[in-house]
Amino acid sequence: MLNLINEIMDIILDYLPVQDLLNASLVSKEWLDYIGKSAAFRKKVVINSNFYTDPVITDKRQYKSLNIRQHEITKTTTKLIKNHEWHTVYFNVQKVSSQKEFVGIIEKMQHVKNLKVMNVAITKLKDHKKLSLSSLENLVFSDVAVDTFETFLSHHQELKTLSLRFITADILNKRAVREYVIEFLILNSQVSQLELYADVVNELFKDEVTQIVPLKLRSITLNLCDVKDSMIKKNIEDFLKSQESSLEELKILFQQKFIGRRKYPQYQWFLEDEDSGEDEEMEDKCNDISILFNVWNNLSNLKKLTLRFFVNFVDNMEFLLTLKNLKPNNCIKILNIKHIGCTIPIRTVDRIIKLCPNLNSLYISNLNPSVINLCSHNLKLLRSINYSIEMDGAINVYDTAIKPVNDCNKFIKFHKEHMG
Amino acid sequence: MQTIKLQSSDNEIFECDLAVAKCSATIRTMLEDLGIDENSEDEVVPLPNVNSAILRKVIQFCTYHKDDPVPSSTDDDENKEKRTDDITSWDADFLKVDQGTLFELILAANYLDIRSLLDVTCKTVANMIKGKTPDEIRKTFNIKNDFTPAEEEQVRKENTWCEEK
Repeated sequence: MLNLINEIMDIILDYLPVQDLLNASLVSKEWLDYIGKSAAFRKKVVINSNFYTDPVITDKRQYKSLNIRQHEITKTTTKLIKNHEWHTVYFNVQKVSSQKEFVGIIEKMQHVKNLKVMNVAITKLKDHKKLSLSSLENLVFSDVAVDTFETFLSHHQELKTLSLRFITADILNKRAVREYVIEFLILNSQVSQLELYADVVNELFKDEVTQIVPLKLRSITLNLCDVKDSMIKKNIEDFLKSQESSLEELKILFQQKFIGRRKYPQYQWFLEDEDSGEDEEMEDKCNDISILFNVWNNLSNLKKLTLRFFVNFVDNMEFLLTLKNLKPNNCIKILNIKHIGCTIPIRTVDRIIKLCPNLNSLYISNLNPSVINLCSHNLKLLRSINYSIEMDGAINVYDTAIKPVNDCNKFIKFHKEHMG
Repeated sequence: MQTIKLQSSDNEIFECDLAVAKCSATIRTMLEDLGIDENSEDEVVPLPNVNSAILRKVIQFCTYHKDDPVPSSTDDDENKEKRTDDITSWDADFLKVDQGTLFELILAANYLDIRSLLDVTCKTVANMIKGKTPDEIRKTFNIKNDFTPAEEEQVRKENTWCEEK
């Protein structure tokens, strides 16, 4: 079988889940060698170094992905990092003794393209040593102290994607969040895909950003929570408008405020004085869709729009009626609507769908009859509709009320047949 | 109905529907780029990498599938877990052949660039590995275990560190 040319073997191996690739590696030395160096193996398999023991691996296989979930760095971990050309690394180490140690270990990953740093706590700060990773393309920070991010404040020539979420404790160091993020973006203005979590959004856009940061983003994800300051809102809108010529993908994801004094009094020390007394109404303020509509006419190159509504989102009819001068966006082809912990805000979604006359792909979590009814308005071009949960009656409403001969219809019928 | 003549490596000539032959991107390119005249009755397209037994099977497959829509692929498809349980019953019956023929069909599908045939044959081979123990795989493909017990144990140990990404 291994006589088949590599290209074909890669197709076959690509159909196999990791467990089958591992079993097949035990067939013979030749299979071990072949599979361990295959594209499918490099793509799918990750070495998992966990909290308890370090992995001992040979150099027979070309591992490319490494998960480090450890309490602290050991000599074996260092050797493991040094001896392989890792392309994807997930770095979750609870205790790093100093910035110098952190920089030292990350510097050994000179081939890393995708790096996710999570939960790293550096004991000794302010060594001011900086990292530069020449192959780095995608950088994700998740629940990391802003001091760790500081070590990345240099130019990474291949960087395309940046995702930032700092630990909540860094609301104590808010000024550094804005300062470092701006510095990083100035140094890496080639970044084309940016994802910001709510705490970062609220700090970064506290003051004007558009004139300072020279970005031309293709895609931006904004997690919004509790944007109650009108200046922050205006700065976000100005920034989005400044990206008009390049922006092809916009995700607005509403998220819940994580910590509230009333519910979690033990975290009171995290919060600054300015937050006092506002926790009771915090969830009501999580969702403000006006940002989208205020920039709507400036999204002329947008192809893909994703919205995630969160708890307590309700249609605000009064607000929707005030929207008059919005132009249909002929460019948007893909619309994803997700709603978590709330019923779908049908009027808002209706308004958005009507503003996207050329949609050809629609995803709605939790499809229901009302959604199908409203989807029928202008979706002649729709090629695919996807949904996660089908509610009773959805298909009947579709069949009796609409019946356009298009692929959307075929898709629903297909599911009807296959779901009995 | 327009037909075309195809010549196998063992010099057998097959006359088939032009639409069927054009399931092969390689033949399409030959006709379009190399200026082989589709209307010429004497023109024969030589396929030196495919023998007559395999070419007969390929023509049978393409005749059955000639009206299938061309599947569209998106970026999202790339990251999806690839399914192997969606082989139609006609294709499954068509591929009830010995291993040698199956591998020859894969090579022919690759050479002739017939994506649907390549996919379904590769899925069939993947299904011969999926869910099997190393020993069952060895039996299926008639392979000798050349690991020493210690070497095999080392690979097993290393496998425990590996996970799905």
